[in-house]
Amino acid sequence: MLALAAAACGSTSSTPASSSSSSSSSSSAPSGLAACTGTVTVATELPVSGNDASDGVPTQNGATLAVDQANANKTLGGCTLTLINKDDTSAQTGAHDPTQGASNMTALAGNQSVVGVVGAFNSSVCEAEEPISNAADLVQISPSCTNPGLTIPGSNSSIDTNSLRPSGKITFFRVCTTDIGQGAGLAQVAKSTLNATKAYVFDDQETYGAGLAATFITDFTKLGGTVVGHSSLPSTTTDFTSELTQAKSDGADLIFFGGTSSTGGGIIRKQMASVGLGSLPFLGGDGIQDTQFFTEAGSAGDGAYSTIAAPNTADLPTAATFVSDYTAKFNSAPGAYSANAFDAMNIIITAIKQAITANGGKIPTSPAAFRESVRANVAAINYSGAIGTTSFDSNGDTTNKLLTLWVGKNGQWTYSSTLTVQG
Amino acid sequence: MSAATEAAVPGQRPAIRVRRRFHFGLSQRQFLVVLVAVFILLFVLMVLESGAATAGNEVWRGLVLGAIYALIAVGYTLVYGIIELINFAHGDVFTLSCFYSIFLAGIPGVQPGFFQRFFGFNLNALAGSGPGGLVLALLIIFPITMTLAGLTGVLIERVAYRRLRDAPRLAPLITAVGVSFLLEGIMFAFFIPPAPPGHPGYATPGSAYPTGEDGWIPTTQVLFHLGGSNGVIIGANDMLVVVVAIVAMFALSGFIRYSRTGKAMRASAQNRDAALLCGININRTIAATFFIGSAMAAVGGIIYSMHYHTITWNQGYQFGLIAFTAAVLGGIGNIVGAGIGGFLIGLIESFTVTLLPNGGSWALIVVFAVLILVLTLQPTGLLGMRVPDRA
Repeated sequence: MLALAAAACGSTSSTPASSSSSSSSSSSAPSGLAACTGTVTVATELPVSGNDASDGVPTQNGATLAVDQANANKTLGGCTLTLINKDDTSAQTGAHDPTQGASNMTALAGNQSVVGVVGAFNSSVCEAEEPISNAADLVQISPSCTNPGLTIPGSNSSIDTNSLRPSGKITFFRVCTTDIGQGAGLAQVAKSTLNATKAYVFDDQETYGAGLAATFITDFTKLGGTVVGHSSLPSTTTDFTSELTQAKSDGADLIFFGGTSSTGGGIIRKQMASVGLGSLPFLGGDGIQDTQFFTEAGSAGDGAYSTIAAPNTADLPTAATFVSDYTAKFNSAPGAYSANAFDAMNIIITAIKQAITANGGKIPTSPAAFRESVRANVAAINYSGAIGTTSFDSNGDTTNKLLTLWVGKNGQWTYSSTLTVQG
Repeated sequence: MSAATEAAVPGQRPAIRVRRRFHFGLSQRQFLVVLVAVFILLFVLMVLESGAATAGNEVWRGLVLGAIYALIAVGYTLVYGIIELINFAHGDVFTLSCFYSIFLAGIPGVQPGFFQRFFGFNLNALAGSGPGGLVLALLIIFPITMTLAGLTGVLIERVAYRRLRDAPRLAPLITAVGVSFLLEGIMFAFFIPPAPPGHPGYATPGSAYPTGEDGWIPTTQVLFHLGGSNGVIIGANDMLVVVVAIVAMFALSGFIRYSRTGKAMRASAQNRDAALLCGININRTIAATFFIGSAMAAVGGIIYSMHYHTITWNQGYQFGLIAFTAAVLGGIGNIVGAGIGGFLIGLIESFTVTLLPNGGSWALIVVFAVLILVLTLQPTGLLGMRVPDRA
């Protein structure tokens, strides 16, 4: 409430340091921002409890780090950033829930002081949130929603992309590669790296999982592979052995899973052994790239493969500072999408800074004008951050298309190689 | 039902079947024969389509899955038989019992178990020390977990159902739903899995709980192959699930049939007032029913923990729903029916996977389609709706 009042008034001072008269110093301050007073609110919307916590928490940490650093470095001069963290895990599902996400986004959109949101993590949640943030002209940057239909009209028959943008403007952006790229990359890995010709495909019936499985099937078939079977199972399934027995009987030499650890990734890997498929490679998308996968798969997780639509931060020179800052602050290595969230939040912060500078160093008094200004700045951004240089195309997709392959070793995801992506 | 015509005489084996005719002129027995024939036909189809080994493997997978459904279904059926309440909290008692077993055994290298913490004695190490140790560990974990789960069931009955025994039907049904949400909430908020080694800060409410009972009987350990090395894989862990379930069901059946408490349960189910007049302590008998039903769910919970290695706080919802379906399919109130219903649903799921293209996606649809079909033809379920007076 305090943040709301402060930002809405624009000139209310909330910190002792900036309590001197603001009107006289605004023109004389060298940066143009020293005279800025008040707080600007940004938000994250990620699954940080329940089964997706091992995905959501490190991602939220990345965004938190960006906000803390901006406040410490006085990036916005006299203004400070306030961060609201929302959790889209619901008690009904115990994992990410589009309904919960939509309700969170409605709250954020209704909060006039919020000018940018990093999230959501899962495509199904992004899909539910996109129309809400769009109608409120609130910029939303997802670190990890990879379903192509969220941004590219006509790319997914089950998503009407244009209906996700009721205002007609582009308000939803993402810093990750879409599943068009990821599916093609995974098919490439299956065919060339793992020498598979017969794949048995599982998916979890969700926007992300079913979409990824569909693009994988298309691309794998295009490369000359055969899909011997395909099972779409509810995300609550705990026994996959009947399907795996069928896969064995069909002579599958690869098990592919479109889904996340919370919807069965680690369990399938574990159960492969009990039907005599323990030696087969298991391949999945970025949804299984977390610690939860190994909690469930145990030692069977070794030899599983997954890609993520993000770089290997440990290997990337631009990410070195980020990795050491993150590790120092959170006492743990960054997660798969921590750097994406860090850059996404920094892009929003940069856009906010530009908006305030353009307004003569003050927070725009009209919340709607402030949001629109931030949105336009994000659309036009050219930001060099931890994951490289990010700018957005006319759909809101990043031009910095990254995909890396990781393999399970000793209970951890270990970097294997970087893939080239066209999609 | 026609309980009056078949009043059980204490100490005498009661009649098993009520012959009951329906539209197509098939008796209960004939209906079962048709059902078995359909399954055999489907099995032959499976053999023709995917080969004998796959068909055999699928039947085995169905039995393993069905064993756990059957154990949970028994609890629904017992409670329904005696107080005609659909105990929606039962699925969550199953989940709770999974947690009890983990807390007793601990997770190697992550979280010490109860015995290790207080008596310096590691149950997991004992289980991994050889066949003798394993048997001993099982003999420790089963009774304790079953007792804890049983007491939980009794507590739930005392708090949420007893006062509503003569209230309109809807009232205890709603408290049952309430208890279910309450238990799920408690498990979500308080049973927080330990952070994986090397990842502090990942201990968050509601994430999946590893059971660490992998060392007891590894899922990869093959007992034998049925029909050659490419035949049906009979895993040691799978075998444990099926054997424990069958033994528990027979033990329960015997208990209901021959023990004093079992007889009291049957009498209370038939006519509560008459039982009271005969000097049966109704409150104690109903409490015993909850104890036994919950203990059976705990048997399912322990073998679930050992078989699937991952517990989530809300797994009882889906398992409970399917087990309840099994109880209805078999004839609610009928213990043998609940057992058969459980195995049947497991088999339907695995048959669907093999027989339909991309069948995995259809498994639950087929299960519930069969349920609708059976109930419209035979509203009392496969074995007839019975109270546990004819276990």
